[in-house]
Amino acid sequence: MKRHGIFLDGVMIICIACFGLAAGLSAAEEAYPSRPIQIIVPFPPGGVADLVARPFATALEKDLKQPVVVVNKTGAGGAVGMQTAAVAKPDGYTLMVALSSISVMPEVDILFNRPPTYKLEDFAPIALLTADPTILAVRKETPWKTVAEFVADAKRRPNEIKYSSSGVYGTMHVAMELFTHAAGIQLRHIPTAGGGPALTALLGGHVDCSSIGPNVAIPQVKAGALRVLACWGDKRLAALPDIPTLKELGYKDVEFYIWSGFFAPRATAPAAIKILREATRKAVNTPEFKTAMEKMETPIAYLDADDFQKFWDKDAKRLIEGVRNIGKVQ
Amino acid sequence: MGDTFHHLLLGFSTALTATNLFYGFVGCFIGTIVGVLPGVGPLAGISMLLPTTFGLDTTSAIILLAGIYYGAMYGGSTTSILMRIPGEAASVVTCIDGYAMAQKGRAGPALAIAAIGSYIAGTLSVVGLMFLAPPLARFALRFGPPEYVSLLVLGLIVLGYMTGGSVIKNLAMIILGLLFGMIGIDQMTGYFRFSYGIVALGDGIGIVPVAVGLFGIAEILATAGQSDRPEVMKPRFRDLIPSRQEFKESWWPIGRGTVLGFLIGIIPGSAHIISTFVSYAVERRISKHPEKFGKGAVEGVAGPESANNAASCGALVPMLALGVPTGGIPAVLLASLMVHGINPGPLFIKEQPVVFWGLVASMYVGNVILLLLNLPLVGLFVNFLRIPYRILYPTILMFCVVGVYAVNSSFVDVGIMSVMGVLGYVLRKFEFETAPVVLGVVLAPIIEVSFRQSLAMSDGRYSIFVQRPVSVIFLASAVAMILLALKPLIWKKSGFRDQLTEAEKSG
Amino acid sequence: MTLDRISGAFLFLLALFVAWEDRVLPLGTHGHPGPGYFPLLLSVLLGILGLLLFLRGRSSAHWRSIRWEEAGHAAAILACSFLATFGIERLGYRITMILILGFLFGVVERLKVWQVFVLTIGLSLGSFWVFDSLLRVILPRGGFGF
Repeated sequence: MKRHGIFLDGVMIICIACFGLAAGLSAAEEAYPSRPIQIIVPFPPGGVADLVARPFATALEKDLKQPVVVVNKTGAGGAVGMQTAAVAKPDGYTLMVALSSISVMPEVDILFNRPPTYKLEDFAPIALLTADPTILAVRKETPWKTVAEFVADAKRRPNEIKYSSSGVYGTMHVAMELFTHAAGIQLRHIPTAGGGPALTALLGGHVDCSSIGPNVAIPQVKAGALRVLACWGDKRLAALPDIPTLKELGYKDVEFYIWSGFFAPRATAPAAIKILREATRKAVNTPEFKTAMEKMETPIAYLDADDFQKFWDKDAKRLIEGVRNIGKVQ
Repeated sequence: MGDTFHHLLLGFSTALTATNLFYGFVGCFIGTIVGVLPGVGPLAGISMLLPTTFGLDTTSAIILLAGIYYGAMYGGSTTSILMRIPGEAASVVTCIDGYAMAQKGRAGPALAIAAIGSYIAGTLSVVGLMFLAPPLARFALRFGPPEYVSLLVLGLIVLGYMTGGSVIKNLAMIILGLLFGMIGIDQMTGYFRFSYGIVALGDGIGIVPVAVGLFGIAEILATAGQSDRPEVMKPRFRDLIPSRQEFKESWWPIGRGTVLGFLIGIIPGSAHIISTFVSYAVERRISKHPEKFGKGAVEGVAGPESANNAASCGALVPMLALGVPTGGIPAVLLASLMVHGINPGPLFIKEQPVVFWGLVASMYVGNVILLLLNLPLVGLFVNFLRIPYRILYPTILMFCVVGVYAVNSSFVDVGIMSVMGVLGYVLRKFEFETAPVVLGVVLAPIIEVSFRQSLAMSDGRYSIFVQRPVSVIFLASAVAMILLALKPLIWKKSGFRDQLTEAEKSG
Repeated sequence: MTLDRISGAFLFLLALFVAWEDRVLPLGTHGHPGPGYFPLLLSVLLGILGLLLFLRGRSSAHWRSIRWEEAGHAAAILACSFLATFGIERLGYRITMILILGFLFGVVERLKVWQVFVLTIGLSLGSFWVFDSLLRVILPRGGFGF
């Protein structure tokens, strides 16, 4: 009996060893991706980044043949999720979809003499997905019909016209500040807790104007509650072809996009990034993704990694300049 | 009127199709589970299921998600009553008298009254939504920062009546909660306050870890080791139904809770939990036997639970009528509509009658489904109490951990929950109420930000608070209530507070 | 030394602490309050309340009247809760839960071995399956990949 016992023990040990070895080897050798992929979205569900990331994740699944799950990790204007993605294991299984505010936060940290929560260099851009320019919306009761009238009125009574934003140093704040700096006017800034409250404040008449994203503004414009004076884009919006861009009106370099981009930690293997780039290119062209974005009136503005990096650098420079101009708000 | 009726018929024809009935049922079912599980709240539940609704028809999708939303309000009271653990943050107040009722063997009636009250409130609020959505929404928009401040001042004074006995202790707890609420990034200037470099604290301490920690974890910490826990007897069927007396005492609180909850829910940015606190305070103030509260007064369950459900419906009013998201959950519901190509705005009701009226009709149906789902389950849930506590509490701990973690995939939240658990345990030992802390955490951002926004709007002039009509009304009511409270001091007759303290000393 | 005196003193000290921590934040003016304004205001109020509680505290119960019999138990549960906090991402959800539940069921409650086994494995893996696979809420898999 004892001999059998030792023999069986030995067999068991060898089996377990082989199993472990096989598991270890397979983990090392399997092609990427071989496990579910996580896309971190540093913003709450229902927001712009989330609404772009979810159909995108579904489209990616088809090409990568692995589940791609969106994980919302909110906090501190997005800093929490961005920091998590920056320090995540660069094995290609943790990625991020973030908005243009990514460029702003490290600069704000510098402004406040805080150690930065992350650095822009921590991320390798994979692709730009969408890029909505913001628009200047004013209440219908206000008298301004053009930007020129608006600016003239603002110069007559500085610090009287109020605008709402989604939070200090947020997208709506920086966008407006870029404009006011270029136009040489002073407006009164009323920060709120987010895009929703900012829109509510505008609709309720508690502020006079705001720089908001087109897809929430357009239904209100159609219903007559708001009027649009200009847009912060490079070209006119397809949905609002009569609205001039600030660039056209002579405000050079006043461009602001609420763009969404797909990122990976910088140290991720180039092979994995190549696969992701290719998959993204295919995903963005799928009819399902196109329809989803159309339905939300968010035009796809796909740029592959290298072009995206150039776009990002230019955009970041503008935003960082804007934050420096704002300085510390008291 | 005839128009509305016509539209409603259209809505019912949509809502009562087999597909939509199915999705409505699924939504209500999941919502109930989400509500029952401590930690996981309706926002988490809706977000989890949002992707699966992308492929569905628009009306079905919104029916499903809305079902989860108000279904969670039904389920939230279950664990509050049975175990003093809030199923979701808004059910904290139900823990107080609901659990006390359960301790007296009246868990069944408590659950039943909660379900019935929720049904009545839910149905009546849908009626309100149906008829009054556009004008109410426009009124709601006129709530700006100064109105919030005045309303909250009034609210805090009303809440001062919430508990008798030590006013000092309750005030201290509210202030403690307010201080907790100030941790994190300051919205107006971008400074980080009291966050000690932990980025996850940058957004502040969430309401879910605080509520689950102070009530859930603290509860098991205090109860698990106790040797003299009363054994729960098997309830007879008769004990599951509320007595006639309990019914009688519940009608008015349900009615008042519905109106209060609906009105508070409409206000953009108000958390549902505020409506439950206000309802509790009002019921206590109006009651002829305020000393009952805290010891198992059915009004303390009927009012808040109704307010809860009415508020969740009220929160949909601005979203549906104007396309304005007034909170996390309406924002996600809006998003689900946007994904289907519908951009809700002021014209939503006119342009998309099928979706709107289908949703309204499904809410009637959903409330019925939930009532039918929850009432029979009362018997099942009460039996839950008979599981030996030694097996129950580790399970509760597990659900709390996973529920709190799932909200934001953050282990820091689990840590906050643990710390709050210790705090709740210690507070109980030192005879402090923990509910006001939760209220403080919820109110802190609203009060402070609104106050500073108001001053930003007026460029530093305090006159803004008395320049706007709605704000003046609230402030005047607040002054009136203070004077009423001071009346006994002036007239030297024993006032409400003295009667209360006397009754408590003898009772 | 009564309960109220202890809590009053503690609240007062807490108020001092908050006010001290608040010193780095700009106060602003009454017309334009800064980030430090409200916390300071609240800490002053809290300090006053703490002081009041302390001064009136003679009539409350003596601190020895607190029953601590369940404290040991509570400490064990608390340890598990903190283990969950730090372990859930490093060790992975399932391993952490198995450790916690195994500890509570087996060591603290001393259930029979088969009961411990069934409950621990069942609840850990079961809840993971419900949340991770059914509801698609990603629960962390920890350094071991499990």
